[in-house]
Amino acid sequence: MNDKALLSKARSLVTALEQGDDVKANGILERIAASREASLFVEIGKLTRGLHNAMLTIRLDARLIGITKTDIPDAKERLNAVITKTEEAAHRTLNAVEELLPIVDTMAINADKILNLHRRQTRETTLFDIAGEGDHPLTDFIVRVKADAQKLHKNLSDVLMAQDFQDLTGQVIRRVIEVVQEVERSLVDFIRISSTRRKTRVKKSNGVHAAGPALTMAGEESKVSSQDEVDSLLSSLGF
Amino acid sequence: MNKEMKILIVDDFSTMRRIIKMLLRELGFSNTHEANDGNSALPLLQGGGFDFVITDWNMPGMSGLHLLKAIRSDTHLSTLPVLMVTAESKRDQVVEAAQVGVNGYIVKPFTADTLREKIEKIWERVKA
Repeated sequence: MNDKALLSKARSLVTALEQGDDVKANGILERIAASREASLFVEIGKLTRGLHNAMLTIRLDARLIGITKTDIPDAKERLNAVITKTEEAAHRTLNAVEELLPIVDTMAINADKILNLHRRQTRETTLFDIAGEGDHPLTDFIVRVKADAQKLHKNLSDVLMAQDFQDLTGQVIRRVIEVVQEVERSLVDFIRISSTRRKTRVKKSNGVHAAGPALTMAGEESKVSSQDEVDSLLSSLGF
Repeated sequence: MNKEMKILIVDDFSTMRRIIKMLLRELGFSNTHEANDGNSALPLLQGGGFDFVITDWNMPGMSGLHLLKAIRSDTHLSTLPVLMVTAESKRDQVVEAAQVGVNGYIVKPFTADTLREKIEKIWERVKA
């Protein structure tokens, strides 16, 4: 109903109401409502046709199916393999560090003992030696060993802490796997929906239950005839 | 601080549990035990004898936060000191953990010194 017609109807409605003619007024109201429904119907019809056409163009091609069936599971497996690999490497390093730390600490303790022993001995034999212990090569060596042991210990501790990379990277990778899984779920749903539509169309056209595999192109020929069905249905409705 | 105190380390990554265990040993604490998530940690704690818990937040099954809640609502465990060591660094999470009753919060990556400081600080407050 165009604006002019609507305006004319509205005027008739007002007149009918002013005259107290309820029957006439209701009748006009119903006709206005009916025309509203009709245009709504037209809009829905257009949308349905549009959606139908769009779904046909998003073809369920073999690549998409391949990604869902093979590539995504492979990707997840590879990511998990990375976590495992880094875990093994970190544990190997921790094993080495765990073995070395006590060795280094014992070395430092023993160096101390020897140094004290050496100092006592040299003091006893050189009571008037004012040159100090800096001259004795053995002393130098032991003092050096102590300092080195400290450095070794510190660096080993650094190596120990650095293995936290495995935990931090592992957590990040787990999040990525979760995202991948979400995408996988959506793809599987999409494939299922698309192939369900195909299966339904196959059923309608042949009248025979064609139980084809949902994820292959087997439904293609049937698709044409059932496509015709949908098209003719839409056409008969004016779309 | 008693060096013999029984400590439970909870983290789903075995490498992290090991790092913390080795750090604790460096600090003189050798009475350490491990669990890989809240679900296996809780019965261990309920078995009794633990003096300290160090836990991660993100774990499968029961998270560190849920474990903390369970500890605080268990009459036998409610006063158990809990130190959270986690990669979760959002302000809201720190606040939430504090509200539930965590005694300390360390953000990964952390240093050995930080671990030592936090443990000492928690122990001081617990004694007081």
